[in-house]
Amino acid sequence: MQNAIEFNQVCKRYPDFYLDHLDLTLPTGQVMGLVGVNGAGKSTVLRLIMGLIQADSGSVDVLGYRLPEQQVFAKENIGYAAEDMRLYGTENLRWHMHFIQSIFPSWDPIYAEHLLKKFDMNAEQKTKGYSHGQRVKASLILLLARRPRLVILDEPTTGLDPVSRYEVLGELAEILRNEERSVIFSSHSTQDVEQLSDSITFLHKGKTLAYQDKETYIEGWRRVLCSGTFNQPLDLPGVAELKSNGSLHEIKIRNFDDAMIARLTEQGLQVSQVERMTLEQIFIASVREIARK
Amino acid sequence: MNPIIETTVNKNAKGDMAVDASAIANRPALNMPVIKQLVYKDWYVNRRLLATYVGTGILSLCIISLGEWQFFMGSIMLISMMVGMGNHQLSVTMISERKEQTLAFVMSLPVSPADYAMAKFLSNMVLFFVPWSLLVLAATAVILITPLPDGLFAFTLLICVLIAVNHCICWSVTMATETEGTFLMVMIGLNCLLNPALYFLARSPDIGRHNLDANVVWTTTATQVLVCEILAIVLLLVGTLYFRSRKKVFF
Repeated sequence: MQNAIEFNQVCKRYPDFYLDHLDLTLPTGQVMGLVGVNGAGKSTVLRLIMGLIQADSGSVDVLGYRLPEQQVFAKENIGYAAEDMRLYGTENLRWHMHFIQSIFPSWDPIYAEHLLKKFDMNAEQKTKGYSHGQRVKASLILLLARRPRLVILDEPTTGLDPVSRYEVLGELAEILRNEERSVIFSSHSTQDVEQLSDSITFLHKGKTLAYQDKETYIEGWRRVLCSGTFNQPLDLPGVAELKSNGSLHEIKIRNFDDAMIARLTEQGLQVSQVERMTLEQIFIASVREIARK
Repeated sequence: MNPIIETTVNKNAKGDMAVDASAIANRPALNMPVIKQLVYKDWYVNRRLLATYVGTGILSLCIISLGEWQFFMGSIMLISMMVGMGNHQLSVTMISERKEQTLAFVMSLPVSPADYAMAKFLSNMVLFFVPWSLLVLAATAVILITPLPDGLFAFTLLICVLIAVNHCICWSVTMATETEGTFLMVMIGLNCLLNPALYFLARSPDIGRHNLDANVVWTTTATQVLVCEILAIVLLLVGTLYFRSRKKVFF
């Protein structure tokens, strides 16, 4: 199966930012979540995938097309929506739907009407009167009804109220059932990434911190609570964070395996609890670890 | 009807999505079906604006032959409508598209920077020159039919073409810089220069001297000025389009 997206040693330099030799692969039919703090490089990656900017070095291939040279071919099969993307305020959603339909032969009018009902949207209302949630839903209708092979979403759920977020995530989960459709999305919400994605790319200051399938990645982390006094400085591989409060210690560990419990015991500690971590906890621990370094 | 070219991606025997290299090679450099849709979109979004300017322009022509003060008021109104129409639609189609972030919506469509440049060239020229031509024809008709002296024709035509030159300068600058500040500065500068241009054309012995003649007088000087104006328009448009279409990416 061909990859939907292939980045090979991609670099992009701005005055205050450097995307550093990024390798990225999204197999067809997979969902990738891009996670990172503001300025991590998520939007830069998505813009490279859309061919809107050119890499300084390295190569970007999307749906088998070299970008930015062949962006027109790639974009015929891409649906892109960004949190800050706006529609023409003086026109209504119906007009936008006709406009998109005139450009994309793959437009599915029945699915578009289904989405209108599902999102409870009034297609005759001018878009300048839309709330943020309605704008996001309108963008999703316009991109999903064209049945793209690759969906690119830049912060799709940012700023949505809980009900809108639930509806949007539900529809995204629905479209992910199609095995030929690939999705890449960026989000501050690690919950969304955890809920939807098959793989995770963790970006920080233009560098890849992690790039793995979600289950393996999350499974590799543990939060260990223990007590006692260290009889020597803690010597354990993969410790991302150590917080001590008197004789109580909280250790966050990556690439965890059961042998680590024995090693902690050897170092004079009594392990009281070993917990799985959420993606959010992992995200925070990783970023703080880098900040400390 | 859907004019867009069929996708060039096919499934091969293994079910992989393979790229048809010959389709890429044979495809025209510009995606004209989508460019047409973008031009239509700009026309549709600006239709009320254009109607307002043309309507006010026609109103100014209705009063222009009614008397002396009506002539001055009508001619200033007509010039203002032509200048405002050009600048306003540039602001809506190019500056606001960036400011209000509808550009991201356009960039998500199957267009390259060259397609976008061509679409903006065509739409801005159609949006300006169609109503402009209407107003120029109407002004010519008013001069020739009403008691106004027919000698005004040459002067009026040269001023109208000069306004078109100014519009093309504004378009070129906006396409090149894509910034509101520069657009505004150039627009203000050109508007300030319009008055001296009016003065010199009116004072020209070969052009303005015939303004009050009962018949149309077309001199060699008028031809030279007109050719210079048209040449300036062609050079500005071709040059800007050439440099802009060489961009590989939007940003």
